[in-house]
Amino acid sequence: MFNYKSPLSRILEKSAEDTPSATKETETVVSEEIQSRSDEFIEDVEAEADVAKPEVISDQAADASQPVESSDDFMVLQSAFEDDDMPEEENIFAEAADAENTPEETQSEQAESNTSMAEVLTLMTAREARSAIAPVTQTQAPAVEEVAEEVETETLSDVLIMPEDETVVSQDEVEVVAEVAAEETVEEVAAVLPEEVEVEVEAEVEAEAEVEAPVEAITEPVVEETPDVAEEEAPVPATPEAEQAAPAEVAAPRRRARIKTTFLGLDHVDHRLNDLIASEPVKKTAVTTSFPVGWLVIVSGPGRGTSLALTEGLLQVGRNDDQALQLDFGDNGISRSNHAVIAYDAEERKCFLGHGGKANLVRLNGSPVLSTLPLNNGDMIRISETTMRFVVLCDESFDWRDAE
Amino acid sequence: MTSSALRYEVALSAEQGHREYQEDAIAARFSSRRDIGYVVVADGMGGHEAGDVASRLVASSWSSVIDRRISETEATESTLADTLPLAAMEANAAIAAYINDKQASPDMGSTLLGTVFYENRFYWISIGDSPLYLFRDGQLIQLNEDHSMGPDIDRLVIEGVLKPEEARHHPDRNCLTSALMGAGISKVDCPEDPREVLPGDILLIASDGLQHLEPREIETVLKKHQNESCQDILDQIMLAIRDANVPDQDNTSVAVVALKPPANAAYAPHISN
Repeated sequence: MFNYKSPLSRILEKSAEDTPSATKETETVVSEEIQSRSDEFIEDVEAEADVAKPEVISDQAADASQPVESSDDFMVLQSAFEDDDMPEEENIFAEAADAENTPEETQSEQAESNTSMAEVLTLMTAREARSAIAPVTQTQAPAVEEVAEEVETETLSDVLIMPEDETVVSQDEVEVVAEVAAEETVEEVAAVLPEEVEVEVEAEVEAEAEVEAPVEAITEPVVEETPDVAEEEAPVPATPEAEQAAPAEVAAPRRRARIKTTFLGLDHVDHRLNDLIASEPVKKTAVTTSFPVGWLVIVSGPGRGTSLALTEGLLQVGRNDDQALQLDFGDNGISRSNHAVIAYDAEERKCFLGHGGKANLVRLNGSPVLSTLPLNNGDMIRISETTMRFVVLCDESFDWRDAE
Repeated sequence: MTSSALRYEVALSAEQGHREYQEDAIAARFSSRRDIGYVVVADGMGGHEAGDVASRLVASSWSSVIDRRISETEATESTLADTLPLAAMEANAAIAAYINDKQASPDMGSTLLGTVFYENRFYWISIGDSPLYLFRDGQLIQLNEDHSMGPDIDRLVIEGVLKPEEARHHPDRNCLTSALMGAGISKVDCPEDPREVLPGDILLIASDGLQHLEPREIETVLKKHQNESCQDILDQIMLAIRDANVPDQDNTSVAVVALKPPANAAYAPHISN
């Protein structure tokens, strides 16, 4: 897994490995970032000796009626929650645990306390465990419970199914965007050069383009890029793009009929589109110079339709505005900072996804992210209710270093 | 669903077999008030003072995170389900910390098979080759992924590269393709959606020592004893493993979970389905 060695990936690897544990003093920097959830963890690590042990001792203490000790060298642990007010239980057991394990309480490493815990573990052989069969359902009001349960099952399955459906739908849509984006950036720029001659023709085509309005709605963000080029009259960008223009020209006539090259001949474009085009050029210029390695596009949940450019470096995902990848669209299930991390490893030419150690999961294609994982084009990343599709730019065939 | 008239019954066992060390750990806990509980199995590797430590670390740290979550009264089903992988991260971190602090062998590691029961549904997280079997309608099926070379070797049999007999005793068969070793985790099986436990279902949550028995043999035992208590079913399974008389019998940990009518019920609960 961790066979890549660039400094970047070491950072990533380290953060992925260290954050969940947060047990050592040397990790205070990391653990500070982990905030709420891991603070809990830290406290709990201290308390864990007590939390873990009590559970074990609970067999002895609570189930005194049962035979519990066994000299066999194995660990079998079976217990029942006496009731739901755990804290009380914990306190009782904490005392018991302290009494038995005073030396290595508190700050001792989690590992150590757990080891000792293992030694204290109640050992039960199969036969001895016989009487420990745990009854679960206490039927205080069977009828009511039953109904409630069924209702819950139904609503739950709804909730569970919905995000999937949405994902499927939006996946299709995004594919469209991605395709169009890929084609148009090249095509339309290519079209800039021969354009002036064709303006008349385009006016006719415009009608068609407008018929295709629904498609436009999706492709607009891309289209906006084109006017930038056009407005600048393309002396500067023309140089690199001229190279691309050559191959693209061959197919140009067909494409022009299909896409909105009409925007380029500004004379003939109606005002609505003109306004639209003129509205936000600055932001786009910034985007084009970010040297992205890929993108995250929100395809489901709050902020749907937003794309975030991934650059080199360790990118934290969170709601705060200091986060490189800020997801502040109203999904409060996303942590303020460092819910997840993404980093591009120039050596492997891959982006990697890591978990920030938060109480909420990060899922990659439905599976929880427990350690650093490589990202592939089209991967779906889900944090809380927000699903993003990962789109690759840099890979084996392209890296910004190549272009230099 | 009549599950509210039924309750979870669970029986655990762990045998060292003919191995020098017990590297399995198994733990279970069920609430007496709510339909909530869990069973965790961890099968360690790395030998003495490594594999045994690893499996206990994994089982104890995983279950302590789950304990903590269950004790939160507001814990919903979905937060509980999310806790399975988070607890696995804790367990992995515990191993990493142990290796780091004790300068222990970096080869120590453990599988993790954690199941959480919520009402009549259950979730699992599986990393490694500890099997989760469901016996339903007379058939035994393995629910979780097998993160060992076993599936690859079986594929070679289908492709005609290996003979079935060669495959069965292939030395790489028990070679894990994913485990908790305090580092990256290459494969995780953790479905988002729960499975339902139906009356009559029997779940086996085990270490791979159970697989000294062929699935068909387990099925036979279960068919014969399915209406008995979980403890009796478990006894019969362990007996069958002993009878199989495998010379190098591995550590074998098994939990049997089923919905059973309350033993002291004043009435015979009606079981639909």
